[in-house]
Amino acid sequence: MRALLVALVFCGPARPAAAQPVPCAGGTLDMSATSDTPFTLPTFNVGQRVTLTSVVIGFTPSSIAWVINGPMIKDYDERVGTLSSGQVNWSTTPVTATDLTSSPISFYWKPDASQIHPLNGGPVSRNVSLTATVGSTTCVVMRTFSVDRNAALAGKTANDFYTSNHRAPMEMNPAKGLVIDYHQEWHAAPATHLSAAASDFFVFHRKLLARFDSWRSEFGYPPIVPWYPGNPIPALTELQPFVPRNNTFLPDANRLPQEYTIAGVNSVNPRHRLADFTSLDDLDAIEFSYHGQVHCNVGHGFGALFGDMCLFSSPKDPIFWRWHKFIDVIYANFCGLKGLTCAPGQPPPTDVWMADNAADLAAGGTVPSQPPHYISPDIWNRTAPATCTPPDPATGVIRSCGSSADHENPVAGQQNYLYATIRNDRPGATMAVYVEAAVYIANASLGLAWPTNFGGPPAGMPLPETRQFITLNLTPGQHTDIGPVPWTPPSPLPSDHWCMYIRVLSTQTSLGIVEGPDIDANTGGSNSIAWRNVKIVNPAMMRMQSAIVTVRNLRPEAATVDVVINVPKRLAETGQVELLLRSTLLHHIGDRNEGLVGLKPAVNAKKDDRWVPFVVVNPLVRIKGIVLRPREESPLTIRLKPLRHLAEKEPIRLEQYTGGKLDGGTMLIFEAP
Amino acid sequence: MTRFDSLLAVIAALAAPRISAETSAPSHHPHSPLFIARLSPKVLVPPASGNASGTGAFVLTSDDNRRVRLSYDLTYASLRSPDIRSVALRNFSAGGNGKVVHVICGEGNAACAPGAARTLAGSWDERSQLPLTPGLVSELTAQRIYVEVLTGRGPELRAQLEPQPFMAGYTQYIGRISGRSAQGPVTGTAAVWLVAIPPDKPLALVDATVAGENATLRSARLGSLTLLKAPGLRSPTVSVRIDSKQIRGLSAAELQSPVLVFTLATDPPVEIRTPLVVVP
Repeated sequence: MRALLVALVFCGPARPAAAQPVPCAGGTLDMSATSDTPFTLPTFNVGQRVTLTSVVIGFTPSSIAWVINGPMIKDYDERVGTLSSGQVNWSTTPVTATDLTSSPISFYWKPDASQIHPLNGGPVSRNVSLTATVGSTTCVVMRTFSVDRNAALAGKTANDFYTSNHRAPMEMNPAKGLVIDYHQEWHAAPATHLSAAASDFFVFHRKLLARFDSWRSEFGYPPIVPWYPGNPIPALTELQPFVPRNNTFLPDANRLPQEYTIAGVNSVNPRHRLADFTSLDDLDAIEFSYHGQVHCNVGHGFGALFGDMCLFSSPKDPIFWRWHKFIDVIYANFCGLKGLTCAPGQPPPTDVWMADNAADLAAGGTVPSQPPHYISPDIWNRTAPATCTPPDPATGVIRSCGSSADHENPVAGQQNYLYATIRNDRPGATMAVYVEAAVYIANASLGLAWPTNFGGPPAGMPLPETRQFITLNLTPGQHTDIGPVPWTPPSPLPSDHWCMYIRVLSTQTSLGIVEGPDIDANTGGSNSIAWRNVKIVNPAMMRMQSAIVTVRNLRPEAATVDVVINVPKRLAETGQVELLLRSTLLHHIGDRNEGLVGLKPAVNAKKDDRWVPFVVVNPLVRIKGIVLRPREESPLTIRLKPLRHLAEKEPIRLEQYTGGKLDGGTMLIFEAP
Repeated sequence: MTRFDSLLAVIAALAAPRISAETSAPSHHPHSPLFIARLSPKVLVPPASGNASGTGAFVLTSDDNRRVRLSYDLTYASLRSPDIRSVALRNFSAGGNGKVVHVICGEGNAACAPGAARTLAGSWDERSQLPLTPGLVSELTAQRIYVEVLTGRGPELRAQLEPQPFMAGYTQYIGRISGRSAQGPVTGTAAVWLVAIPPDKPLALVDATVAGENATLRSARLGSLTLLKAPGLRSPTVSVRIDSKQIRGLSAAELQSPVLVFTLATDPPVEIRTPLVVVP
């Protein structure tokens, strides 16, 4: 009769000291548990290599058998590149029945269902039993381990294990796993088995990222998200560096160079924008410029230590992966713009948009939107930085910075701050991986042509820092505020009326139209184009009480234009608004009796040879039948009399029409002095 | 053009067939990476003391069929024993001892020439007695190949073969030192990385050792930049890092055609000029 000896050594993590060998066949039976990465018994981490060894003293078992609470895998293959047998792919190896009858046995615990992202209910107990058979005697020793999916404890994050695992036999540095070797090998000697092309920087790193994402998925961690270095390094415990980073890292000095944006910028550089790069080999210039710059600004150049972001051991720093995920986004953008097939393919489309007006907002961005289009509520200016919640932009984090109601007239010659709202809530939305909003300004009139007046062909010239209008991983159904974009408004002379034309650019989103010169048609026809007219003021005129706008014939042939002005009833009825028209403009109006509606000559106003003053006597003013030569323009001044009881903000709306079609308009906001 | 722009332009012109548009930094890796060995008794396992030192320049080349070869120049000096038993490459990371993977001399191969200071040259490839395999290339790039000099007094010198470590574009140079003092011929090995850490933090790593009868260095310069000035304790080796500020002190001509100038502490002093050659 077989004797069964069972010893329950300890039942939970609270009682590890109770572990004792089990008497067996005149000797003892026990097990040891070790790892090649840091651990404190009885706790191991998911994704940490665990080695269990039978400890048999005083007898020789004829067989042993392990029973280990799973789930678990025996091993995984994170290698990248090509071997003689072909391309290496991510794979895992199950624990076999043979493994369970051998000692030692090595494996990686996978997470319990309660530990898989987004869940993490804390450590879970896993029982292990070792049965030894000798003759007719069977002995069993049991242990209970605690398996954690730690995300924050220094030295035990996903990054710590992943980059330390699979250490080479000849390696003494316990933190230098296979991944570090691979990264170093690619950079030091790229023409080896790791990559087919020596310059294939993007492909290699995409695969490296994919391997880590596979590992993270296997062990219950969320995927890597990109980090844009124009924003601060997220203050997350899981991103604690392996060695201290350079504490003088400045996001403002690490903004995406414009040539890597979709919008780009006109410059002496022949590559104005991402699409100007001719090939991936050409784009590879990023490796030793922006890519290296961020690496070595996060880390230390001179005197850097193992694991520093400036060295090839940089995958030890968790921010390495987020930084390279952003590089990978640039790579994906390039592939999308160029129509390249870059495995594993492009993210699915999503219709990211900005609203043109309140009705468009209520309609959820349906195309076409109804006019007026020049009053987008989704972009606004502040003369000082707004208070945002949370303060800094971060990938996938919804942010609020106020609203269009906070708009302040841009002040010329000093730094102002633009904010915008990006929306990803159209039907069928998917995650918007990368969205940039490029802002173009033009001076201005009641009508302008794209891109001629916005920096010129082929694609205009955005404000330089609208590269800061970037949002990453905007989830479906959400909208977020972006910015600030620092900018210095130009002089308000000769016209203080400026037009902001905004293009929402993403390889997942099509503008939906071929942009023509008519910005009103563009804005109405595409929910990825927005428009807002603003009045730029001099610092001394922040509480301004006059404005100059320009009436302009946009067409290459003579045309007749109309101007419509909506004045707040209270101001019109009290005769407090004056309109000054150029005498030359008046000559272009065929019939002044018919052409000037809601105005009467200002009897007591000061006159000169050039300006003819009128008083607004009706909330609706029309100046009809202005016949202008091709491209001819004429200024128009609107002025408020000194007021004692002006409401805080009194909007006056001006619009220009040609042949009954809206060319453009502006909203003037007069503020109490 | 700033000094850094000039440096980048020089690096680009020397090392890369193309110039990246936005910074003029080299846009591709060198085709033949240079590995530098800084030999010292302090990194032996277990560590030893002594004045011996050395410099090795190892260049990994590959042909269109990915057949690789590691060519090397190696100089050691000031050994305690002139009885050189072996000079060999071994496989282990810093801190551990590994087996021989390539014999430079000794170990049953051609005997090492005796002498406390020598310069050696050779190569290692798939046709060597112990072949250079893809796996060993991986070990090389992972800094797990080291060179060790074994004399009649045991292991005297060791160094891991180290690749350029920075995430930045760089130009690599080697110099073969050759001259003569009153005591006889002087040889040596120099290896330099000029690293363009963007946006404006260039640095250089300069290593060199001279070998000759009583040949130690009184001074060493890179162009007009003093690297070593040792009126007291003199060494045959210079191993220095040059920071951005120092590099900006170099003229464009000195960057365009860098020259190492060694003054030997011989009687009378001898100056040896060693032009640095770009390893593409």
